[in-house]
Amino acid sequence: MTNRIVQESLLSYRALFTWLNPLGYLSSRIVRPIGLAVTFGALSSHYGGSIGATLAGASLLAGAHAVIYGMALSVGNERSFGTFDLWMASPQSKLAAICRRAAPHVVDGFLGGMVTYLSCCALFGILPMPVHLFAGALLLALVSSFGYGLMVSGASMWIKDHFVPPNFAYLTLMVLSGALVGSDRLPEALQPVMAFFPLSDVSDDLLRPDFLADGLGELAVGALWAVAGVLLVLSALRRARQ
Amino acid sequence: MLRTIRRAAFDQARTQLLSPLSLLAALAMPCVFAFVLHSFAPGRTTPDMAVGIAGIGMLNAVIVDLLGAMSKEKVWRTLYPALGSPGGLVPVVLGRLAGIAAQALVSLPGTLLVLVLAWGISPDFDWFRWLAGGLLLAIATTAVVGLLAYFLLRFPSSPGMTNGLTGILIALSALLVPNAALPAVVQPIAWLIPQSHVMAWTRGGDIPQILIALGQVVVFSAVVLASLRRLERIAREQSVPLEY
Repeated sequence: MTNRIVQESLLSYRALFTWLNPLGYLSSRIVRPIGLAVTFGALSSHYGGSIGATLAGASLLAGAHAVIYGMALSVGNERSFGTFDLWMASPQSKLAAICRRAAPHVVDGFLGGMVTYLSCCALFGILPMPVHLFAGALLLALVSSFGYGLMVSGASMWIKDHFVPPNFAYLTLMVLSGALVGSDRLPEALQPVMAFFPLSDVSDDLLRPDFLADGLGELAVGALWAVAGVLLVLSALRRARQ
Repeated sequence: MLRTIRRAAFDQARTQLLSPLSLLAALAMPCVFAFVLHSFAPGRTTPDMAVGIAGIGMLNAVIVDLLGAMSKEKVWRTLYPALGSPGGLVPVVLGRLAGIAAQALVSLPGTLLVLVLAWGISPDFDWFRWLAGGLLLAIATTAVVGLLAYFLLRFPSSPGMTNGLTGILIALSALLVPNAALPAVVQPIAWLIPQSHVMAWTRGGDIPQILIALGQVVVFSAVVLASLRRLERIAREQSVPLEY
């Protein structure tokens, strides 16, 4: 049983994650997040912000990016390859399939987030938080990103252009996750909204020692988006049957 | 040759000027960066902020449009007829690049409008530096990213392979912060591309900055031209496939 789940996860990763080629992977999952994290770190240092918190936040965002795009591509590419209708008609549980397909991207997100964090720390010559603490924060961020990714996957079942949902979701996270823009620097009207976005609990005051205490809040946010994702997937399936 | 370049530039505008993906790249992503920038730098928009934010849109748009343009030439199967014509392949690609540079200019007024509406404009806004800096940035960005045309035509496309260019070039172009704010290791590399010199001039730099930028644009353009000529030669002499 476990073997079958792992096999299905890896098969979907191989078949549907089109960026799984040396150039595509390096470019999308290593170079891009590092480039962006360097930009945001420099921005923070130039304007007197907390460079450490910005680097850690940008690295969390790199992990979230991998999960969200990976999960969106694992559904959207069914459409690109012309197998979406066949998949929808098959007796396989779509929710279970999306979750299994997400597994390699969560692992990938962890690797990508860690590589981004360590590379940027080396470039800027700082280590804002110990590696094991950052790894804990990244794991929490990836769990909530998985819930958000489930919502993006559900949206990809409705929207034909498979890059629109993950692009929109990622740009929203850049503004509202707190990873780059802290709650104190957000316009007042947007501050209450921020609490409903992944990474917001774990990013808020990331450098304080007990930040992992907010883990439950982060998991709750992930669960909330996962429920939204389940509803989107189920409604897409009902529409497909009709 | 000039007629073909003009025609290819027109084709670029005809097919991609209003493409939703191109407009999204040119306008949506820079607006998010503007939000992040202004969260660190509260206050009204200055010319360097406006040009830097527009530069993010230009960079995104040039990469997306070039990828789209070269893919379309492959799908339309127009590369071999161009190769067989007396003018060859080079004017077609140069025309496309000229069209892409013009198309990327939409970011300049487009992002300024958003910046002005959201954060206002500084009272001593230097319109000349904004306009000249923006125009030069579009040319410099196209000259640097233009190198991609060779790789897109010469090698089979790998999905996702251009994603990293945006990240790395946003940092190296010093679009949001002066070069000196970048990590020490990155600073000398950033000076190798013309965008960082254009941005240095926009931030109040002197004429030599512009001259260096223009010199680098000439060098990058020459490399693009040489690479396309080489591609043309090996496609003819060694039957290197272009449309796959």
